Amino acid sequence: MWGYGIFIDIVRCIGCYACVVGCKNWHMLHNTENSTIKIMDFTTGEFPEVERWIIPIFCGQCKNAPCMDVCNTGALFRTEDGIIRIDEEKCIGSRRCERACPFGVILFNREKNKVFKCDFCYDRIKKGQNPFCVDICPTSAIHFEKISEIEKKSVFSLNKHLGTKIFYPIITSGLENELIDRIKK
Amino acid sequence: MSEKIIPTMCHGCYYGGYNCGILAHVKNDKFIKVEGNPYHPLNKGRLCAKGLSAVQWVYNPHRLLYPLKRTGDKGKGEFKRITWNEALDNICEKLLSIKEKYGPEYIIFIKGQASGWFNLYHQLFVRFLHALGSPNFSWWSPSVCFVPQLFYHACTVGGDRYATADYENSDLIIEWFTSGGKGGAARGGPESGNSNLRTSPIQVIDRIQNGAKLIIINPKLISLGANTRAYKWIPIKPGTDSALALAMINVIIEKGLYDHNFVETWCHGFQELADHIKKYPPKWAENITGIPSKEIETLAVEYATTPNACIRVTEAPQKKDLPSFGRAISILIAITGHLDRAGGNVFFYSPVHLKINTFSRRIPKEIWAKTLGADRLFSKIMGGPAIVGADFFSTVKALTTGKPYKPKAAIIVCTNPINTARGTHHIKQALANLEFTVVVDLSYTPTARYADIVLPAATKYEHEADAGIWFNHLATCNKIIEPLGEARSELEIFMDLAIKMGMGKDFWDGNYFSMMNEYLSPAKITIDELKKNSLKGIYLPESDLMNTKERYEKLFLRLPKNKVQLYNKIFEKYDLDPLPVYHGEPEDPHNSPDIYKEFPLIFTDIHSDYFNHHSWMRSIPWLREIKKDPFIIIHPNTAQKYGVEQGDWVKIESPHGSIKAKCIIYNGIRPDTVMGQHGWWQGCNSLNIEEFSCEQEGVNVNVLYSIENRESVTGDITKNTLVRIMKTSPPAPVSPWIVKGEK
Repeated sequence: MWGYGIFIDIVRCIGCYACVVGCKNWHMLHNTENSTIKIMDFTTGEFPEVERWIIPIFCGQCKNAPCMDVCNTGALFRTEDGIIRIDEEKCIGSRRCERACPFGVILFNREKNKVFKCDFCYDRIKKGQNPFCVDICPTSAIHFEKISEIEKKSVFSLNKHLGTKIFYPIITSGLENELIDRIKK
Repeated sequence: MSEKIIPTMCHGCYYGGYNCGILAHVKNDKFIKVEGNPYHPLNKGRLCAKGLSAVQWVYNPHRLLYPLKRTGDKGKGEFKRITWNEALDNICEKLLSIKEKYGPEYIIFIKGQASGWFNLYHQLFVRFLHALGSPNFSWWSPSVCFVPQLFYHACTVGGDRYATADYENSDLIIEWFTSGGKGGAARGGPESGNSNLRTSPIQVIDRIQNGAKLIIINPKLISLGANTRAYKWIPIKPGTDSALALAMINVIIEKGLYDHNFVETWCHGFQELADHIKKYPPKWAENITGIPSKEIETLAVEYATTPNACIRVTEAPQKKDLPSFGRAISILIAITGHLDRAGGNVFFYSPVHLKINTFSRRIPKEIWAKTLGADRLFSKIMGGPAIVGADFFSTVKALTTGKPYKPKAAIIVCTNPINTARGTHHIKQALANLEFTVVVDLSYTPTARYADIVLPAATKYEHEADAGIWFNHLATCNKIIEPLGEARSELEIFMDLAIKMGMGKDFWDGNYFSMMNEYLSPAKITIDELKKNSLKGIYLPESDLMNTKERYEKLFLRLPKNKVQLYNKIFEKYDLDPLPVYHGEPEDPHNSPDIYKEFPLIFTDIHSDYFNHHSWMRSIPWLREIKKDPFIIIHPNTAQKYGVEQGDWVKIESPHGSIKAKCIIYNGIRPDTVMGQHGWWQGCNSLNIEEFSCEQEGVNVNVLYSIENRESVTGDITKNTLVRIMKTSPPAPVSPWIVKGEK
């Protein structure tokens, strides 16, 4: 699995939140703060020459992961496939990782007093299935693919420095910087 | 214990028997999660946020779980729990005595969309009411956009349904004031039933990625048009759609861009239309619509000269000026040669129509004549009250004025007119005037507060529900879990009531399977066979109806001269405008300049959202946490002008009332426009959000409109008014229900 990532074809994304809700449904997360996927929704230009952008932000399973850096119980661990998972037994609910995540995509499960994060639906991908959000996406905008395949397309990664494995098509030149600026805010 | 996976259909955005395919996961008799059914041809494994919230929809603290009897005053919400036996006995006794004392027509039935339009539930309710002898079945779709637009469409281009956008083959897709698929985002095709209700985003996007162009005509840039998908966004002034459509016809005729062959062969009154349309040039429309005339011209030329071009309208037809808009759109589609041709607007059919007998023939002629609203022109043109039922507004009027008579009992099923219909105040008065009211619903609603008896309905995951057909694919629902509390299916409730009233023989003696076999008989399939094939469903042989196009002879059969009515001989006969004449909406900057001085912003509301279905589903925490508050959307310049900021509570005041909503500031909306959303009222316990009022100073947009602003034939009601806005405090919550003896 090492070398798999998510390619989000934003030309297909309509911001319907099926991935956001679908994740909570599949992982049965009923009483949570935050979500594992964040939808950025903003405009560029001025009326009537407006372009609207709807861009979902997923956990990038960063190579240099700020969440892992701050976890001091060892609850967050990296699998041999490069995916960051959580060992619930070890999580004490300090929520440090949640605050450290630059993308805000770690959620807090109030029921269990533990955090929860995307692991590309590890149980599913081990069985050869797609992550849940990929299968239910109403417009088939989310693709789980080998990074080498993704990189054959004209794409940008959410954060090269951190080594995120989430990729978007390059549509207009300014979008990448605009998105990065907005995430920083 | 191991997990069971049961195939069924979604109970999310429910319009009829057929919906997206779901695989429901059950563990220890508990419904724990869903996934999409990959074999289901409508959604092929995809699901939207509403469908994915099924578990929180079922296990929801807002659900009614026991039969209740009112103990306090109407509207207060004071009830006590009673047994099913007591509830049903009470209902039988009341209905039979009212029938005996006054006559069967004094019993009315009000049904909304939640049990689906047209399908088994709808048909069973009609059958029940007709078996009782009453003709007064009031389903209020006829006064909102769908049936009125279908009426003008059918009176112009014929057919028995709406010619829907054939996205799959289209090179130019015009989404004209639609929500762009928010009604059911995972649906992968048009509806083959009698409906034009939803966009299919995946088909639109597939075509865009293959080079098709998407044009959004909407005061607001919708999400379907985001991420460069919209080739053009035309921010039209709300309510003026008809002016744009008429100007497009003007350009097309003036430039000779119409389909000469089609017009000569299949259209009546081209010359009259050509003469008439001269008064609607793009320059004229520019001033009204706010769209530069050059742009109108380009739009008209592009539409007329693209052979595979389709238009979908849904919310735009919600207007008093529907006679011009509904016909202008139909005329546009016809004269440009886009009717029933690939990539244009096409009639989609299933090979069979599933049905049970609704006993219409049992109602004697003199009783049909007593149907509320039977004398309306709409009813006459459509073929009488046996076709159209009772008119919703005539029903409300009968209850509030006693004219022509005051009904005594109402059975209200899965509809919440206090919130969803215009004229909240009138509807409350109507409900207060009833002698006996039964409300059947899934959750506590403002309307249920007026009931004498409230019955808890089960979701479609908790009972053997209906089956449905989409093109030639038959699929069935399945029971996933036992009902919560004492909730029961509407099917069971009405069969039981029928049995108690001595009408068991007419209701299959309460046998669900016998009923389903009658319903499925047109398909020559039994419910057992269908249930055995729950995962994949059953494909019927394809029919010619599904695959042929250009069925003009058949489509125009019932139209005068068997031709498309460019000049409308039907309307001429009834002294209505035979040609589409622009009037605009009663409350807009042109028609009511005096009001405009005091209320300087144009208001309209949007319907569907990814996170709710009309007035339903706001109690689901997974959905509510995404959009917590009733909202208005305004342009940043407008916000600045009126001193409001993102997230502020704002008071929105029209000449008819005022509401409160939170402010969303958005660059993609006209600066002269304020958009709200209908269907707000419900609280969400899990997120500590309280219920808000449907009345003045509450959160229900319907109080901003006047019920007088209705179209004279269909009763289609405007969704345009003028408002002013100012910063305000949050709305006050309404008092919760007090129920004795629950649990």
